[in-house]
Amino acid sequence: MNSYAIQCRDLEKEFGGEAAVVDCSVDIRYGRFMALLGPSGCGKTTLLRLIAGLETPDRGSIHVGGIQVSGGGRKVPPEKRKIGMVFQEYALFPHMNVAQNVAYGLRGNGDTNRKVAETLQMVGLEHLEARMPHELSGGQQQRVALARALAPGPEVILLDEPFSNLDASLRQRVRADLRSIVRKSGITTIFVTHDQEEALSLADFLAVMMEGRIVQAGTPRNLYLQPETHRIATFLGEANFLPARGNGLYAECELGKLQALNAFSGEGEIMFRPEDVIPTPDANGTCKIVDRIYYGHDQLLYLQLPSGQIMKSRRLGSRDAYDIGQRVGIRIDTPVSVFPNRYGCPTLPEPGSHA
Amino acid sequence: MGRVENPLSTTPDPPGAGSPPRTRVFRNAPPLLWIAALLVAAISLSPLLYLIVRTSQLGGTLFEILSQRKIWTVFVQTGLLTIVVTFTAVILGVVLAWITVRTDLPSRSLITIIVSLPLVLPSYISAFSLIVVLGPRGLLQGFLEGFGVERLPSIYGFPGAWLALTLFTYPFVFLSVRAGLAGLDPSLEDAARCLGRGPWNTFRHVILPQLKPSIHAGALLSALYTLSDFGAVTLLQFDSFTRAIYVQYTASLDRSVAAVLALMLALLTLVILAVEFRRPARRRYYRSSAGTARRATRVALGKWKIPAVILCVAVAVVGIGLPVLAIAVWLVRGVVYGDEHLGVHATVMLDSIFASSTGALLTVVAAFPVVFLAARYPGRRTQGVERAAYVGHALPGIVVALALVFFSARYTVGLYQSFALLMIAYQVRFLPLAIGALRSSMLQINPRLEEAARSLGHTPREVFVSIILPLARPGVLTAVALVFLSCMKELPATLLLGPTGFETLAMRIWNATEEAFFARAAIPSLLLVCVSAIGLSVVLSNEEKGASP
Repeated sequence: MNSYAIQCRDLEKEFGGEAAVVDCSVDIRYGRFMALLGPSGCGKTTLLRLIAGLETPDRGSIHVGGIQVSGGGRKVPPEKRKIGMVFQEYALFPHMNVAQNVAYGLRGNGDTNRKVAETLQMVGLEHLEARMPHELSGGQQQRVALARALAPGPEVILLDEPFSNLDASLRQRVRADLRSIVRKSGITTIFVTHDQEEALSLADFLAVMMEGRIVQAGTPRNLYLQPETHRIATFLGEANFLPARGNGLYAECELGKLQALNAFSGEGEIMFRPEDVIPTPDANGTCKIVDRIYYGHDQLLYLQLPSGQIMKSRRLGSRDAYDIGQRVGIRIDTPVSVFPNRYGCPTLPEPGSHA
Repeated sequence: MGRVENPLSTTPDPPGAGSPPRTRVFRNAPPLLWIAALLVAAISLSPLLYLIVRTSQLGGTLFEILSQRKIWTVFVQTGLLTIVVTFTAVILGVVLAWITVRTDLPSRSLITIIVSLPLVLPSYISAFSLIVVLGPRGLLQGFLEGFGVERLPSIYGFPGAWLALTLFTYPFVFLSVRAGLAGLDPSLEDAARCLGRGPWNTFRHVILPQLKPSIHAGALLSALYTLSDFGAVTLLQFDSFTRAIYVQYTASLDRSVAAVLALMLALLTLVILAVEFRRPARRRYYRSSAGTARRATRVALGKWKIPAVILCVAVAVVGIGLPVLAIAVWLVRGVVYGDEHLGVHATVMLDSIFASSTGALLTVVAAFPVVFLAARYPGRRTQGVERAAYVGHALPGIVVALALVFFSARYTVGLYQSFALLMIAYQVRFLPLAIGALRSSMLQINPRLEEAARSLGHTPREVFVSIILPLARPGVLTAVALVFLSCMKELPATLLLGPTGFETLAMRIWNATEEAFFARAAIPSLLLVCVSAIGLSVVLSNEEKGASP
């Protein structure tokens, strides 16, 4: 049996001459809980809508469960794809109550009532089945939308920015709930988000999309620690960069000789995360603390190198005292990511600044 | 009227999210939808196109007709009437709107309802009441005879037409300016007052400029209704375009003059519309700051209170009191004199209701493809289709009727004077009403709902029945009610196109008034006013429901 729930090959989609999805290929195994992460307007929602059949690709093909649904002259309409979708604004039918909403996709076949009850129980809303959508809180609406999408037993379920309409206090809980519900059902899930923290913490597989292309895919750990480009590195979290010269498994830079994750030679750039930067108390240190932001559970220090470059250092805990103006040394114990110049492109603008 | 169209999304995208596909659903409309919408648009355009064809076939005769002095007299008279009526309607509408919204006038809400009421009356009932009360040997003169007044200035001609049409059209300005005033940011006025401007100065330099868009909208409607009115000008015997067309059509065998006049009137209307649409893009006239809008303070009228009350009462008396009086008096007289044609045959009522309900259903059904296309597949081409469908509303009823008469007599067998032709006329005339009502309902339905339904395994047809129709129901009801009401009141097309033996309430009122059998107009008028009032309350209650989802 085919082990991929979704296979996209060379997908392209334009809107009025503007490319939304370019040369996009991705394979998603059964049972994955995948995040599609990218800045606003990168085409991730379009990719989701192409998979759902709500848009028709200009080129390329899509297979769902090994069966071709798009491309090659095939155009399976959304209602025949067995793909459940949860929309950003939930799109609950306002003229139907919770139970009717969930039953809508069941088409009255089999034991509709039992199925509705089961699904609502799964999302923990069995007591609200007679409520109308406007009588529900945002989190409840989202769970109804999820139940509605799950009820017909789809192959895959797609979630478009599932948490963006919830306020911050609710978001944490809803994320955990959603993850456990979807895990329990064991269904292949793709969710779209522009929030890296959400993507890293929820997904077991992550694809980063920029300017219509999938630029890197892998596990969250893999992507965070070994991003392939400068932009991916900054997009996934706070990062420090320094120009460096490769020497096998070592990189030589302003901070001295650091261990590199991959061997490289010649000019390039290294990247390390603020949590890897350890300031060492040293009255004759070459670096100076120029700013400090105290968060309680951690603190962020801005360290100025002799060259004037600012490095960020995140220190867990609230007890260590640092003073602005204090002189320190810098230690980095972990291997750093390297972007040799032929891959990395330090001159690329920061994500977001072009939009 | 003036309903705020709610754009699709219920919640804004995260900041900076400008992804293009959000507003575009299945980008290419299905061909069947296109065909249906294009057919409807073609029907709406056909009267105008046919008039152009017919006139261009005249060749040299066209110039002979255009060189007649009398045609240009009609042109000038119509223009003059339109300008004067619009001007009076604007002044009356703005003043009434301001004193009912922004002053401490007593019982404002009651006065608001009463001064909006003339909207319910068709112009021929206003004309009927003016003739009966102010005309020669009318009620007023009868009353004044006791004081030795033998003659009153004639109500026929310009004064009557001006009065009747002003009363008929000022509510458009009134309602539109009221809505505009309600949307003004009161802090601007406060700012002006703090900068040392008095109340009058503030009104003149701060409020009035901001009201311009609403005044324009109201004035445009007034002008268009004046141009297209048939009932009042024919009954009051003022030679404007519509009356001249009718007289030419009924009196002479050669209908070329009528065709030329109709085309001139149509072009005049379209020119006014085109000028209006070409005005530079509207500026921002809404609240500029964040924060909650404070309620505007009301201006104390002081010594102006009594004149203000008198003005409102006077408008109410002339606009609503006179028609009621006229109907009542002639009803009593009819009963006293024992006029055997006083009552209305059930057939008249049935004809009216049957024609209007059939017209309403047909029109709403025809509106659906146009609305669906324009709301779901926005773009230049679909906008063009929607605009084409609006042309019929800009054309005066008599122009549409005349074009359809010519067309059916020349190119079809059996369509002339058939019920079907009348239905086409209703559809052409009132399609925009249905489109307007449906459109706002359609736009409130988030396209994501349709997509969700599709992804849950339902075909487009099933989605239409189970999701779109139920959600668009308030719009459908409003559309049916509006078109039904308009068909009930419609006169010129019904008069020209009605099959032999077919008579509606409107035709009966018009015929009776024209032949001075005033008593016979009383009961049909009463019925029509009642039906209109019921229909309007249906529309209003429906809009309230629609407003709070």
